[in-house]
Amino acid sequence: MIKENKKSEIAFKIIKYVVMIALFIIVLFPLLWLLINSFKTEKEIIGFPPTIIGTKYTLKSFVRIFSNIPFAAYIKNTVIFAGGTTVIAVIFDSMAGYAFARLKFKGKNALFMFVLLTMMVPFQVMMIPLFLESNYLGLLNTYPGLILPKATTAFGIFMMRSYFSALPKDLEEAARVDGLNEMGIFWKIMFPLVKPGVMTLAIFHLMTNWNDLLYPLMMTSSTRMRTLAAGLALFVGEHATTYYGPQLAGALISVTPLLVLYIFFQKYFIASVATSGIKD
Amino acid sequence: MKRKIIAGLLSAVCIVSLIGCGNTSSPMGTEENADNSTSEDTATDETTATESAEVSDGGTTIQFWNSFTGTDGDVLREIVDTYNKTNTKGNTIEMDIMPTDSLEEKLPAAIASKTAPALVIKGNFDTATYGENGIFQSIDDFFETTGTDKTDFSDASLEALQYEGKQLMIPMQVHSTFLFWNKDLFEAAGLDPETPPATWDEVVADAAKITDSSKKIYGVGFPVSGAPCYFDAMFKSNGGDVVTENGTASALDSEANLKTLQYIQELVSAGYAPKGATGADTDNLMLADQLGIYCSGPWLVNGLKENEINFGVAAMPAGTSEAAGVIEVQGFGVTSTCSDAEKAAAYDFIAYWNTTEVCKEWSLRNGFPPYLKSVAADTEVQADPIVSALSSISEFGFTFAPGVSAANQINADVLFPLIENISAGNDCQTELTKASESIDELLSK
Amino acid sequence: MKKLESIKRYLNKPSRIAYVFLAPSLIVLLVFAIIPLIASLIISVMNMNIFFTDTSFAGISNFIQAFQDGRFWNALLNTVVFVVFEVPLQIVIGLLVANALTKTTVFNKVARSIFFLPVICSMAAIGIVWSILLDGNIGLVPYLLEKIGIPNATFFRDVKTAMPTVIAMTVWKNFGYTMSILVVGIQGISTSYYEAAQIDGANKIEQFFNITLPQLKDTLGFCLITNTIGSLQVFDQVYVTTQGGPQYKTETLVQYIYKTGFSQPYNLGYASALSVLLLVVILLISFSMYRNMFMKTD
Repeated sequence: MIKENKKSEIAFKIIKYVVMIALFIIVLFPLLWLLINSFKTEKEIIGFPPTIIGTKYTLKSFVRIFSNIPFAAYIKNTVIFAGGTTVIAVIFDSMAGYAFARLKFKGKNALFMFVLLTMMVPFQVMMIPLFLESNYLGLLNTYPGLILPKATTAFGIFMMRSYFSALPKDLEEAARVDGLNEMGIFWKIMFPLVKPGVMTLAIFHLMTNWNDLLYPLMMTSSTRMRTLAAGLALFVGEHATTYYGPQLAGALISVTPLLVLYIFFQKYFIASVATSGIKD
Repeated sequence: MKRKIIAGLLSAVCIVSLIGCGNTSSPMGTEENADNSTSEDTATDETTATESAEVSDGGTTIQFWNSFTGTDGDVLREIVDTYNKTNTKGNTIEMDIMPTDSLEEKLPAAIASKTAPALVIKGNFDTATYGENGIFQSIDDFFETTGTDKTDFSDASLEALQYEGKQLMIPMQVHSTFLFWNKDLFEAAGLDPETPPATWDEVVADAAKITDSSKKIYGVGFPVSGAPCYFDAMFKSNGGDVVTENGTASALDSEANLKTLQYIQELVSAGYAPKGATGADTDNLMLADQLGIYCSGPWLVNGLKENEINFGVAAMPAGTSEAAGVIEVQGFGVTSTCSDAEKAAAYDFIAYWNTTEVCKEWSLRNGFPPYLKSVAADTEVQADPIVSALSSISEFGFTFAPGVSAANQINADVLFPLIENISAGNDCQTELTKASESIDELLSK
Repeated sequence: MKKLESIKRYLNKPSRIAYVFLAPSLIVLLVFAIIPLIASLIISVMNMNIFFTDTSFAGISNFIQAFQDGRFWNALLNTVVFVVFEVPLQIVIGLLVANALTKTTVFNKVARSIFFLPVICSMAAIGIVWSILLDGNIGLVPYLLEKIGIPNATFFRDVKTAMPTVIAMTVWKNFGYTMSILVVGIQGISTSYYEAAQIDGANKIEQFFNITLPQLKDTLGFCLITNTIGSLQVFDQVYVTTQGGPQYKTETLVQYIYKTGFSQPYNLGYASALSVLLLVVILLISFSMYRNMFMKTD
């Protein structure tokens, strides 16, 4: 009985490694292919039969993407939009999450329901009025116009609320006895204690906004205000540019910053996804 | 307590909207100028940037949108760069090239939000839409203001870009579809590389010989979207038409057109033409030495040269009727929301483009047939084999559905899907009837 | 100055400072979520285009138009097809991979990091890569398939394969997401269950079905609901690869809403009506899922 189990376990192990290595190839190959083809000449990219490793490498695709579209501006915009949104949203979400988790006040349940309600409504449903509203407020094609509507998320509030709830009780009572004011308690005592939560949430906001397509696509009509994802999507599409090289070079540049961050902050990247499934 | 919160919320909302309104009331085109003044600085200091852009060294920076996503876009970019460096007024043109769909999608939103570019290139199919919606302003005063010689333009090129008797756009180029063929593939298939097919029947015969599916080499290409409307010319050359002469009803559902569709379907199902390929897909096949015959526009020329393809250009093939090609005129339009300074800068660039020298460069490098009489008369232009082949446009060119405001939609929303559907193997007659009804519906609006 | 001090002192109580902490978030949610939501309902009963010419009250005519609009039903059907295949595939693959990689070994850790890579990349970039890789004429994948005897695969360009290709690409990009959630979920299951099962002689498959699956029920339910809601809003992958083609076979609801409102015919009223219908579909599906889950747990 036990021996049979051992045997089947070895069989499982073999199957597991074979399948996993096949999956490695399926997942990694397109990404490596992107890296290689960004440096290939146009002729080799579209040449038949297709080759995996080319013979000639060039930076022409990169030069082209910067000259064909205002790609430098896209990079700048994405950094400002995703970075700005992340900083502001983390602060706003933490403050609201803290209030819901640790403070007693009138109307708490009603306000919490209000936040819950906004979580239920998908962005697509309100995108047209949002566009009109931003236009009316003169926020279209401005950084505040891109950042403000994303400056808080119901999800972030929930997440920070659960992080603050998990802190030991009576922390703030002790601080109050020490004479610290309410703002001070939040900034000096509570906020530093949820640093893992803050990091996780920051990565979450950074990743979502960096990669977001529909939102910046809609909220920017001026080409100079576009983000990387929106700019690239408009650069390709079905009725596309003839050259493939610049599309690939652009794609490579657009994914690199997050991949580099991933190397250093892998834990938080995975947590930003995983916590969403656990904490509820 | 509660009242206080509400008051607080309200005042916060007010502040937000006040900040917003401040921006709304700023002069039109602020955003563009702010963004453009220097590419490095941020848009946060909008007002200062605007002032410096408007005043400093007297020049104006304007946005310029077009859809030159083909290889001719590189030449256009060079010309714009030269203008930016050499113009005496200190103007700067910031060009943005995007696919036609994106431009169509973005421009109305940009007009509505008053962030539109000053200068845009559109085609003669768009005059009705762009005039009606007030996207472009009438530029009747262009010739007087800039001193450009109106008589140098061919009358047809100017007329094609008028709306309700007023000049809505100034010509930028004139083109049609032509037959491009790959001489190396012809030779490899045992055909004479110097003799392109002159009729659609010859196209089939040649395509059959050229096609080599093991090497993914196709005889001929019929893109199903994102391409010039070669099918309008095919219909015509087989004796069919799309709309009646007075432009009020569909003429699509005819025996002649059915034959044309069946012709395309047979070529696709035989594997001589790639199935479901878009314009960009087909362009790339041509640029990769994988396509024998392709009816497309002059914008391919620059790319074919760059990729060292051994190619030739000829007039469109004839069918049961004479050979035909749809003439399209592209023109510069000035948007209705731009400022006077922006308009002046746009005019200056349009005038620069329409000098003999610049137009000649455009014709020679891309093979676009000249529309300025002075360019057509130029000996160097006349000696160029490609340009002279393309200039045969005057012999077989016709204007598609003149005066029909839905012309663009007919091509984009009815005829391209029709080609796509029959290429996929759907019944030609059913699709033809369906498309004909859709055209009638569009015309009745 | 003094006034500010007194305000500060007044607010310095948990029951009051709470509103200060909440204010920024609540204002943002009010202005940029609640107001647009209400406006969406209003615009859906209006005739309105992006140029604001001929704005007028339309009653329910936009909704009637939708029910008679073949393209709307087509888009709804495509969206449902996407959800019905993409969501289970992503969860099943995510679950199997997570189950295989739960133990903290070097190999498993590396594998988990690699499978998460596509999650980080934008759909725009991924779409570009797959469009060219799968191109029927010059793409590497059709070329290799032809070598092993499957000729003429055109993926995004064929009526029959376009939607499956979009689905496969999405699963490729997102299974690492579900995997990460489930790894944490499986790690949270007490090891004593497995130890007891091992003594009883249960093999790995039995352990998976008898312990892992039941214990993961809540996490799986969460994945199911969030993935379903997210998938009903599918847009990015279609926008960058097929634009809804060929023959509208991959046009989804959001894609159709976007096209109606922001390209010809720029009909904001109709687009809003469509988005209200999308909201109804999402609410119906998520509520029925919540209810079913509660009934199971009871």
